Amino acid sequence: MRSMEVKGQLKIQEMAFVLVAIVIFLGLVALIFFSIRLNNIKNEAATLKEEQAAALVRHISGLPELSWDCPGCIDLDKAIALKNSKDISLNNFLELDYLMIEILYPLQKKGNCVIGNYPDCSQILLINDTKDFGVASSAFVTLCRWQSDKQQEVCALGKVYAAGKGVSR
Amino acid sequence: MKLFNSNKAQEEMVGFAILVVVVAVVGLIFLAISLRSSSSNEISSLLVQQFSESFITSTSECNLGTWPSLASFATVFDSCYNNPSSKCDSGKSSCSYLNESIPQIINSVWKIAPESAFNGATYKVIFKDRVSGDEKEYLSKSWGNCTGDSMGGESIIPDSRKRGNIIFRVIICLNK
Repeated sequence: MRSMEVKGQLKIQEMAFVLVAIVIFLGLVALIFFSIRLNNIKNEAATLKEEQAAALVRHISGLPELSWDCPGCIDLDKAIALKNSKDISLNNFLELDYLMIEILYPLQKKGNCVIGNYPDCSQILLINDTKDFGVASSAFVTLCRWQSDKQQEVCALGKVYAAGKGVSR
Repeated sequence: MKLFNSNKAQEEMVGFAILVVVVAVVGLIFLAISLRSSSSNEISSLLVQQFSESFITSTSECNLGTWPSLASFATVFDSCYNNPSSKCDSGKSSCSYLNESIPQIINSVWKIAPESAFNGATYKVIFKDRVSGDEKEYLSKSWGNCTGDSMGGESIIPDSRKRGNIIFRVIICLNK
């Protein structure tokens, strides 16, 4: 009788161990599953933030001081004029620490644009108020100008980089 | 008595085996779900969409003999579909000009290389009929290693013959 009781207790113990093992196993699986899901959600949030910043940066191309007559297009001639203007400052209403336009294609000579080398240059730096502006958000735009020798408008593929309060809002 | 004990032991073994199988099945289901969510998928990306929109409005190096002398990429896409025999002043057909220049531009802009953040790309140019909704792919190319996630975007060019739209779709592959 005593032996039967011990055997029964052993069986109950065995069952309890198996149940504990199952619970631990399922817990681990659930932990892995939720950590993967959380990671995905974090990545999605980062992408959304990046896209929001890209949309805000592209919005800059719609400013009358820079716009060409198509959506997402920037007038390069206006941009270079604005860079050299002392009367108009984009920073008064854009709240940016950094704003730069880069020509990506067709490939241009590397270097900052000034009146002397324009349009054989690749970057127009419009705002650079601080060295510590962090990572600039960027957006693709079309960069257009009038090419007098061909008597037509010529548009290049470019990017606008911006950083500051106006972008991280 | 011995036979009775042996039967009981066998029953326990069967019970344990069933338990192991059930737990393994549950584990496999979880694994399959997690793997499916982490396997390669294409995310719609605003950045790639902006790229494709800016691309079609930019000026190509193809002179189709019409004014303005250098046509926009949108015009060359249209010319390639509606008049495949049309040629640029370089002597290349508009379609082969596109097939050569699009990968060059994508590689240059996105810096596609085996060790960079983007290691492959695909583009497709599709004509979508306005009435039937049928899609006909007339230009496409894939290159690089595209086994991981990718981001895609597209832009729409109205067909000059007003029969539908030309869709320029770009997919950029992310390096794992």
